[in-house]
Amino acid sequence: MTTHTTSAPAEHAQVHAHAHEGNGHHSHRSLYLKIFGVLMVLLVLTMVAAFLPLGQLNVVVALAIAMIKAALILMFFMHFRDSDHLTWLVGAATVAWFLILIALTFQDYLSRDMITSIPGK
Amino acid sequence: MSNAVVQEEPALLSHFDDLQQQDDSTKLGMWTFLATEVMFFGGMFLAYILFRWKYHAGFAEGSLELIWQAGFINTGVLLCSSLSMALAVDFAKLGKLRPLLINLVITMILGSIFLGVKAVEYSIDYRDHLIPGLDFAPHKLVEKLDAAELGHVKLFFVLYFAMTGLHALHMVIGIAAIGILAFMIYRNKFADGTTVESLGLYWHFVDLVWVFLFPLLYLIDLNHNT
Amino acid sequence: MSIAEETRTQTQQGVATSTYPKSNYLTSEHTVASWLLTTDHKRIGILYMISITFFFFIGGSAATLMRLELMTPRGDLLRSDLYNRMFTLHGIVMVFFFLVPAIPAVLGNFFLPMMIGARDLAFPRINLLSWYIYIAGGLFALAAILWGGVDTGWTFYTPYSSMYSNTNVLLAATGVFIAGFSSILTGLNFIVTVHKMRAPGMTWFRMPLFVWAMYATSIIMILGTPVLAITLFLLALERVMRVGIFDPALGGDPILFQHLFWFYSHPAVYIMIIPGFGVVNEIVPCFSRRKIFGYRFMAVAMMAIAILGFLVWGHHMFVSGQSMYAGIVFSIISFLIGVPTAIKVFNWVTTLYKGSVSADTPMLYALGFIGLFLIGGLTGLMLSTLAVDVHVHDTYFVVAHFHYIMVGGQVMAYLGGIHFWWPKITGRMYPEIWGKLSALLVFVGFNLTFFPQFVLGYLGMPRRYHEYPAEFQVFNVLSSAGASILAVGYVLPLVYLLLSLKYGKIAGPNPWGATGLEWQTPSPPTTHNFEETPIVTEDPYEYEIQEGPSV
Repeated sequence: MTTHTTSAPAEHAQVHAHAHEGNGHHSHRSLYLKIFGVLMVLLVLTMVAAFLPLGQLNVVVALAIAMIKAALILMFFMHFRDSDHLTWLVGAATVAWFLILIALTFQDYLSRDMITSIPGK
Repeated sequence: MSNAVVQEEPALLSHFDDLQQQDDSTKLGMWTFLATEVMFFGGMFLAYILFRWKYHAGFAEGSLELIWQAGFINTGVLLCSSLSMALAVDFAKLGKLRPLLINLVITMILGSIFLGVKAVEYSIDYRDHLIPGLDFAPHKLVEKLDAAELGHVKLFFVLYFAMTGLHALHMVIGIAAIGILAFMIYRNKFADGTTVESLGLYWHFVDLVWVFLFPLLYLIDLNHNT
Repeated sequence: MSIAEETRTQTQQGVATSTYPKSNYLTSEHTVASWLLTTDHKRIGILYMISITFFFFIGGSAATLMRLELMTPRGDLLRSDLYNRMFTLHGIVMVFFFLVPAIPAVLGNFFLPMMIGARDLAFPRINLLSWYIYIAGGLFALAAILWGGVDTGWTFYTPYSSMYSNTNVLLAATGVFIAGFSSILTGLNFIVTVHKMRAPGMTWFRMPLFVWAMYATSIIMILGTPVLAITLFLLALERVMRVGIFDPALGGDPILFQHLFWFYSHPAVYIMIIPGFGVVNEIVPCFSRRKIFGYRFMAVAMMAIAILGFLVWGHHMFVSGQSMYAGIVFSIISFLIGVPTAIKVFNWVTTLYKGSVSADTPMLYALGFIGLFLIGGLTGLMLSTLAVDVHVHDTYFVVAHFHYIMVGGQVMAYLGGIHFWWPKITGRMYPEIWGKLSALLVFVGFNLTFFPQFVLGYLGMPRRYHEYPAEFQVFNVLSSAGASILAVGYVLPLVYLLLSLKYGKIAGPNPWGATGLEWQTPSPPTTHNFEETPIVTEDPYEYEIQEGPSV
């Protein structure tokens, strides 16, 4: 498990410098437990809201809570908040592309009744 | 096995210049892969959103046939598993192998509970003739709804099984991967923090998908608005 | 004299020019296992080269049969349902098993690491896995062909494909589904490699434009292909379970299928052309001995095309039942893509202007690319015009348009790239006379095949028909005649390139005097590419500095 095949001697020293990264890491345990607590509360909230007669708003509330849960998992469990800019770019692009798929498709369905007469006909 | 801090270094693959490059590449690779997974599920979410918008009544009827308690328990179980996975990553980075392995096993157990509940749900659905293509004939609804509306309910169930089925497949792969990783850590008495972290990212992603699936599928009309 | 001759008469610095390095990536190990279990990106590139060539000739055989049938107005050689299977086979194989992987998986795999000074891609084992996945997908596609074919067209439109076709839709869709993952893994590998494994000094704007092209292509692969995968999965579900996702009789929506399908398949055409841009960007500066004009614009244009390409898919659906408003939106954005594309064409032409242009084979292909891609692109703008498309949708006008881009563009770029880098890949030169002859045959054959198809389409001949009214025969005969010339042009390189492995002149490290890190290595390169990680201090394409100021 400890074989290295680096291309130059200078890099070997660099590898050893990283070896004890474990000692520099501080635990996120308390953060995780707090976020978990919030997530469970939000889950209960989801259920409570689902039984309330809110009409059209039910789906809005349900999705809003889901997005908050998702953001918490993403930011804290997945450390997106602490990640480098490239990771942010990947995440932002992903969300954007999903929204492009939905939005550009729906602009077809939502506009089906908009232009019905063809000039000249 | 002791709680002692790990002394050895992760193996450096020959095409990388240093461990930092290897770690950065691994993590970027996993984030990029998750981007593809979002687009993969995304196509089905599009189909779901479209048909729910078109056939809200049918979707509401279908949703009411699901067992919301099962969905609720499963969401809770998965959130717990995300916690245990996050803790596992934490322990891996601290070099504490024993709590790491315990948390990986907990994650696997919780994941398996999730799959177990889903299996029970699926078997109840089969018993109630709610699986499209396998003699789809839900008792009450056949009497209550006309053919067109029944078709919408069927469409709901197609998407329900397709989306939760695909999600369950990802769970199975995740549990297997965690199992393999745990075994290798146990055998080698060593854990690479980046590897555990990357697997953690995958696991959290699978949880994320469920966080959206649960309200979209189970909670459409629990207050019987429509 | 040609570049190759010029370079060989100049004094070389350091490395012996005409020796064939005894130990290189080809000779380092000989066993079958060392090839089938290789993680060397160069060997994987070769594996891909062999496989995609195989599929190219399968797709080409289908086209041959189609063009033979189309020589006469009546359906005499092929019955209609057999003809349907032919054009479906041709489309599926050419799109998914040739055009999408060709340049990225062959030339990209081989040269991307070398061009940025890396020893390999970021994930060599995933690279090998991607080839095996490609082969698995290919086997499913071959099974579909051998078991009687598919007749839905490569576009798999529903509900015909999901409910009514009696052909091997499932097998074919599975093959494409699997091959898609090969594409995704290649793209993932390239993206991480470009971000994390560039040599010291190799900043983003010092990268060769070929690398930019691979990066832009990879973004499309990553974000688009998964949607195709899920679409094919839903198609299979509908076919197997007889449910109603896409079948209107059961409440489903066939236009949803088209939205999902084209969300990938339009960006896919950019997967199929941007690599061609990348190759031309390497060839044109080298054979005009000039720095590429507008390097930054060229790089940014490719990224813009990749991104904008995701916003235009509805231009395939103008007459499908999509709303007219959406048609207008998609039409406008499709026009916008013309801007970065035109910038590229202008910049190539400007690079050539006052350059010292030599007509070596790679350059012939690149010049052909520029002209033919221009025609293809302009006709694309014509098709983006709603009013025009209503008349020519599903006619040979569309067929001609995309063949000008895919064949006149991409295939020529692929051949140009193969010839350009053949000395580096194999250590041998191909015979220049034969190279030039083949390029000429391809150019003439191509135009004779496809220009008449613009006329046919405009006159109203529909695509995917095995019969047509007698007045269209003259153009069909011209087209089929052209196809026979084109076929010769494609077979010749197969022969002389293979022969060059044994009889070709030893190439030396840099027969073209080209810039770029890959030319600083022996031909063929050693397994690890570079003895020491290079340090980059120059911008790319410093031809003028090499040669002195141009006259």
